[in-house]
Formats: sequence, structure tokens, C-alpha cells
Amino acid sequence: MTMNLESLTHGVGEWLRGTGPESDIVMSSRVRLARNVAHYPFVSRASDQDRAEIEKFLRDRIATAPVGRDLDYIDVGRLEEVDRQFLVERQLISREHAEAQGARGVAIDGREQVSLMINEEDHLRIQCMHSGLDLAGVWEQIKAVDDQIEKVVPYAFHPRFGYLTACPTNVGTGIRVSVMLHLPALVITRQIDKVFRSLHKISLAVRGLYGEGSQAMGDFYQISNQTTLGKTEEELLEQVGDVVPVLIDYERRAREFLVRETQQNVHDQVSRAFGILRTAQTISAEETMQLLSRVRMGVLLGLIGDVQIADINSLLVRTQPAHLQKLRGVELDTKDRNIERARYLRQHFEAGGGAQASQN
Amino acid sequence: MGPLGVGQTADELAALDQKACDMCGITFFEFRNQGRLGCPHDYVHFEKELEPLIANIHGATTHTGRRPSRAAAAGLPEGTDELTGLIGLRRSMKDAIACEDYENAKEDRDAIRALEDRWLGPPPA
Repeated sequence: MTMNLESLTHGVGEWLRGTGPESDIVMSSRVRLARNVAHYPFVSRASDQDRAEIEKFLRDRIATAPVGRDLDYIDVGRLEEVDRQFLVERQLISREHAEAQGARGVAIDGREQVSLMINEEDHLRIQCMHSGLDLAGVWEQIKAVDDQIEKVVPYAFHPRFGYLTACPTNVGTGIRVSVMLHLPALVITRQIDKVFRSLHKISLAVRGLYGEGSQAMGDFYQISNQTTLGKTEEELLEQVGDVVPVLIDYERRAREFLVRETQQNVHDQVSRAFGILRTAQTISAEETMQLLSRVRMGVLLGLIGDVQIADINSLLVRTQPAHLQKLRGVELDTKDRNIERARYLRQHFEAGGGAQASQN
Repeated sequence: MGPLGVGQTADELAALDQKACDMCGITFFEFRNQGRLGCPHDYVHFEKELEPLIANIHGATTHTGRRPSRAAAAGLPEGTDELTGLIGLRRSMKDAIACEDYENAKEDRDAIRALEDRWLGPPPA
């Protein structure tokens, strides 16, 4: 059950597949469940030996479940930093998991939809992710995985408090439902803060691309539930799911407004963004993401031709630091990365873009 | 009256802070500092202290979602606190061995095996 990360490098992963319902605005739908085994201390209080035993216990048990046969296991503790970062960029592990110490790992299915983090903040974090808006599909899939694991792993459970977690903010269902949205028009028309304030009022959290504490880069935002106890999983899925069509509608209207009222301006903005991406000699990851975000919108508005959305999506992940280094096969410092990134983008667009990169 | 000090005297708070879980040994003070609990038994041991905190975070204190089905199928209680007892037994056995108290160590070992047999079944092939 070991995996070669190189094989992942050439795809783009589930969240950037660019398919699925509403995928012009909804990048991905994701659910994670926090679970712990009953007979060990939580991770932050577990000794090195405890952590090693927890990892082995979960690995061995999960391997006996049907889902275990479809998973490849990666020993995160033994990975080089660039490989850990690669998995973060891929959204298969959290930043916390990448930066933690001690025995830990992740099991991933070949389609990169299911990932099981072992010894993150909780002993087990089950994550399931689909491209586009598909919370119902994600829920069905993760429920089946959870059921299978529950048959072989004694989850810590309290009759009144539910599934027990290291942090009381996750206790109960242990569920976090998130939808990642691309909202450039709401950003440009300066309506985004107003939208977020109203989301906070109904107990939803808004985060950037890489979760807790991360900045919203490239107009990508994750909306998720904040409470986990007192409501059923289905109610919490609805809480997030119900607001997504509203946000999609706002973003679509803002895009229409931009085209109708400020077409020349918007066309100019996205064309300039495209121009920089095709000609820059050195460029940071942040700027690249910001410009790709604008180009992505331009393509969707029909202002830029000859570029596929799947192509832009693949560039979004391949121009990130670890991906770039894996693709080039060398470790590079920030300055060299910026030069290499610009070269990668130029070559990509000169080669006609889409063809080789859109395959997944 | 809550764990955050509302309506409690300094002495009461100090006593609460020193109260330690008898499985993982974490004190309420340590939990308040780190924001992470030490083991599943903390939810039983600090139930009174955690309850207002949980109510504050979630606006509720009773789980209404999915429940594990494995325990019922195996004739075990739904709550897993008995199994969490392994954490305390392992610690006790280690201490007994360190004191060369082999009689108690053997008792602990037998209790550990009994709990493992009851809850964990045979290790997977």
C-alpha cells in the first residue's frame, strides 16, 4: 500500500477537474468527518509510541475494510517537505498535517476523491471531495466509507455528546461541510464583504483556499458550517447547501452586470491579466493565482477564446510552489521558482495551452 | 456558574484547574491553555465543566446525528468509556513495572487483555 507521488504530478486532482454541476462557479464540494479511536489519548497528548500504535492500528484495520483495497497509503512523516507541500496544494492533507511531527499518514484513492488522514488533530479525518456542486454525492460516498471503517474501528463515542473529538468545536457529528466557490465578480463589484457578513450571521464560516487562517487567494472562497452538535449531518449539509444557489445567483448577476455595464473595462482587465501570464519573465504564485482567476472569469464570459477552463484549473495547481518543483524535478528557491513559473506559463501558452494539460 | 470563572471564587477556580483526568492526566488548566482535550474520557471526567462551553460553541449539548452501530451488534454499550479505560490501565501497568510491583503489573495486564478481547476482537489477519 505505498504510492508514488510522481504518478499524481501529471493529473490535477479532483478539486480542479472543472466538471460537475455549476462548475463555472463551484470548484468543489467536500465533507470531512473527525473520528478518534476510544482506547488512546488524543493526538496532542499521545506519546511517540502511542502515535505509532494508533497509526498501525488504524492502518491495519482500515486495510481489512472494502474501501481499504482502493487506497494507497503515504507515510507523511517520512516525506520530504516539498512532497508534503505537494499534498497540501492538492488538498489531500491539511497544512497542519504537513507541518506536524511524529507518526502520521494519509490514505488516498486513485481518483483523489477520498483521503483518510491519520494522526492529524484527531486520530482519523475522513475527507471526501467531488468536483462541482455535489454535496449529496459526497455525503453518500463518505457515509459508506465511515460505515465500513466503523465496523472495524471502535470510534470514541458518548451517548449524549456523540463522536468525541480533540477539540470541543468538532464534537457531536464531527462533520465539516465545505463548498469552494470562485467569486471574482463579487470581488470586483465590492459586494463580497457584504455577502460574507450575512453568511456569518447564519453561522457559516468563510475561509480561503487552504482552510483555516489562509488568505483568500485568487477570489476562491470556502463556505462551511461552524457548529457540529445538536443538528443531524443532513441538517448541517442543508445549512451549507441551501446558501450555495444564492451565492451562485449573486455571482452570475455580478458577472452579467460587469459585461453589461463595464464590458470594455472588464475585457481590458482580463486581457491584461492574460497578457502578463503569457509574457512575464518572473512571477509569484500569488500573482499567478490572481491573474488566472481573472482569466478564468474572462473565458467564462466569452471575452477570451482558445483557452479551456480545465486548462486554467490545471495551471492553478501546477504553478504552485511544490507542483512546479515536482514538474521540473528540482528544488528551487523563491526567486528561481518565480523565474521558472513564468517560463512554465509562457511555454504552456505558446504550446497552445489546452491540449496536453487538460487531460487528467 | 461556568468553567470560565463566572460566579466562581478564585479558590474554586484554582481547584477546578488542578482537577486531572484519571486516564490521560490532563488538568482542566492545561485544556484551557491548549484548547485541545487529552483523551475521550475527558468528556466524562470534565462533563460538568465542558457542558456550558459546548452549549456556548454549538448552542446545544445533545447529539442528534449518526450513531455507531457496531457496539449494539456486538452486545457492547454504545458509549465507549469502558474501552477508554485502557489508557489508565496501560499507565498503571507501566508504573507498576517501574516499581517492580509485578503482581499489580500482572493484574493490569490481565485487565487490559480482557478489555481488548471484549472490545477489539481478534486482530485482523
